[in-house]
Amino acid sequence: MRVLVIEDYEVVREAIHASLVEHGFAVDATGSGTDGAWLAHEHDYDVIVLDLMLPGLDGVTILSRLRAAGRTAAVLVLTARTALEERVRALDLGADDYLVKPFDLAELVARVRAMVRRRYQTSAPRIRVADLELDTARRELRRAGEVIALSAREYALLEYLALRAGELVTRTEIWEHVYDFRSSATSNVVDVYVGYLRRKLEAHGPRLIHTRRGQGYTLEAHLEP
Amino acid sequence: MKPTSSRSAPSRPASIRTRILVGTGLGVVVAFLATGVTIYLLMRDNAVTQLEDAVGARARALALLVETDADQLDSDISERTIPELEAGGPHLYQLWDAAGRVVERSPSLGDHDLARRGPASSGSPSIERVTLPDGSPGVQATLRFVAAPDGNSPGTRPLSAVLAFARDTVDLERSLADLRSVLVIAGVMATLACLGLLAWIARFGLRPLRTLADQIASVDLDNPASRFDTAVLPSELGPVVARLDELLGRLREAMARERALTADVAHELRTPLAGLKATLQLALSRDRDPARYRAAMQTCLGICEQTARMIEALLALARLDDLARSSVSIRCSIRAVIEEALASANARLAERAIAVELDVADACVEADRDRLRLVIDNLIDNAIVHGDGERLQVSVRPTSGIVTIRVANTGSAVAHQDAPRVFERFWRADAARSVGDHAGLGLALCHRLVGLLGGTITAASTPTSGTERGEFSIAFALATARDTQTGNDHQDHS
Repeated sequence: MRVLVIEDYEVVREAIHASLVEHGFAVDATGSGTDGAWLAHEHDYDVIVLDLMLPGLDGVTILSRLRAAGRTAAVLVLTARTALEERVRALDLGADDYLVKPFDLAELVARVRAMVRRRYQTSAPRIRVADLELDTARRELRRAGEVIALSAREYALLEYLALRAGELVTRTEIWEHVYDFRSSATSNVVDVYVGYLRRKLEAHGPRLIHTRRGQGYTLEAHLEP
Repeated sequence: MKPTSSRSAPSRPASIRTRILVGTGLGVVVAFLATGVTIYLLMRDNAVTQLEDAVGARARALALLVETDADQLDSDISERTIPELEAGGPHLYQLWDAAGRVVERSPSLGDHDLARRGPASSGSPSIERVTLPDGSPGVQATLRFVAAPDGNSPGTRPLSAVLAFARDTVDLERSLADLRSVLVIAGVMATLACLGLLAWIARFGLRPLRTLADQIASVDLDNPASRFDTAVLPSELGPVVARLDELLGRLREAMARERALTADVAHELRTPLAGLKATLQLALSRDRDPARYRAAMQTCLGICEQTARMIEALLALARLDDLARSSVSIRCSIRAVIEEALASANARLAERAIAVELDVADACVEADRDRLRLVIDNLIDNAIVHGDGERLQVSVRPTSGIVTIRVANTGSAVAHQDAPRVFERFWRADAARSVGDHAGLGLALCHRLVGLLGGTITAASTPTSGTERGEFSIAFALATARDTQTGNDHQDHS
């Protein structure tokens, strides 16, 4: 899942960045409102962590422009202002959630995860597809009860496919949601990782990741002919 | 209500009620006293005059009853003819001949004589207050006259005689004593009644003060709608209430400013706290190698130091009120102070490769050198931190009586209309986090300091058209030291 962090205080920004990465997210972070706004319009982020007081473009403007442009990224607003009017205003302008500084880092990560679930309409933290069970909190994969060890990237990829289980997921979409902009953009890196994932999964059962030639991948029990 | 004049006393001044009572009380007492005495004296004089006139008239009447009859004085005066001369009565008379021999006397006299004083010439009686032979006070009329000859012996030479008629004044004295008593009693009662009335009036008249005191006690400082109700107070208290209202307004403003400062500080402190919390939680969220821990701790330490500096700057701002009393004004050369400030900022300037342009005329001011230095330090620091690191201009320009010191830098443009706001506490051009030492307080500090130095400070921003950059400058003006104002060279072209 890809997250954009727009926060100008570098200490907090770097802590959020590091924490989210450690929890398996692909994270882009910036201290400038203008840069953040540009990034938000360029890419389809799953979640945007947005500080309201920013240099350049302020958070509220970024938020309203984002929603006006029809972007559906979930937005978690961060601010030091506790006034009720501020909170209501941010939520009314399109934020999905609100955290007041100083916040608990673990809580921020948990809320981001919850927003991802909401975005993909999975209410439970455990995703089941066929005999696969993904524990998104612990980032664990079990197939038929057995734990399968996956690398962080592999897990992120599988999680995305699982959240969109039964749908056709294009390579571009995988690129957008599983990789941050610092990743090297080789054209078949997605295919390579899908290959790694398949190998590990199919050691424990029939194929679940199906290729539709020229279009993308689908994670499901069996492919309609 | 009677206006009171302030009579200063060594200790606390007397209460208004006491003053009113004492003042009017004394006045009332004096008035009643004067009236009483006047009435008494008038009545006494009147009575005495009446008595004296009566006695005089009586004497003359009696004298008419004395005739000369064959070389003898013959009077027709007796108890029979003049009943009031009866023995034991208050009236006495005596008749002497020209030689001074007693011819006749009233029976009441017995063997005693009335005093034989008398007018030098005949005509009107002399009337005197005398002590009668029996010791009581009296009034005596003594008349020297010529007794007409008896009608029976017309050729007789008339003889002169002296007649005295006296009356005791015992009843008069008694009446006067009664009058005195009545007047005194009436006066005392009237005075008491007046004083009582005055006391009541004073209390009644002063009641609005109590009403006002109650209103003041019930004012709720936190509720801005709580004001004084002038409708229930008399017009004399109007100015007092108006001033109180003003004072209340100023007090509420001051409280609001206090609250704003506290809110500002709390808000500002959340930022470093968020940094500390996030850094520490990240470091603790899993096992890490010592280098990571060290880096996290270093970061936290940096944040603590930054926060400490911010708090110091805040305290310095707060303490300026105390410092105001302990400033020392000496003659300083502005150029010297600027050169010192630039020297101490030299490392930072060099590190950022900022070019410094100086246009510093020499001028002197009478000021607290430490404060002046602090202002210039802060201005330079502000320019370094918020400028874009290209140029720093410092200029000093003396004009008539005033020297203007200006620090300018290029950088991201502050909106033209925002320029005056830079002196607000915690205000930042971009509403973003500060990276400087003073956390948005440096210019607020400058503002206070320049105020204490007796000068004025302004900020100006001129954006370069078409870009987001521009020039930002802060200038403050101080009065030049007095003896540089007279006939000095560089003052000629102002």
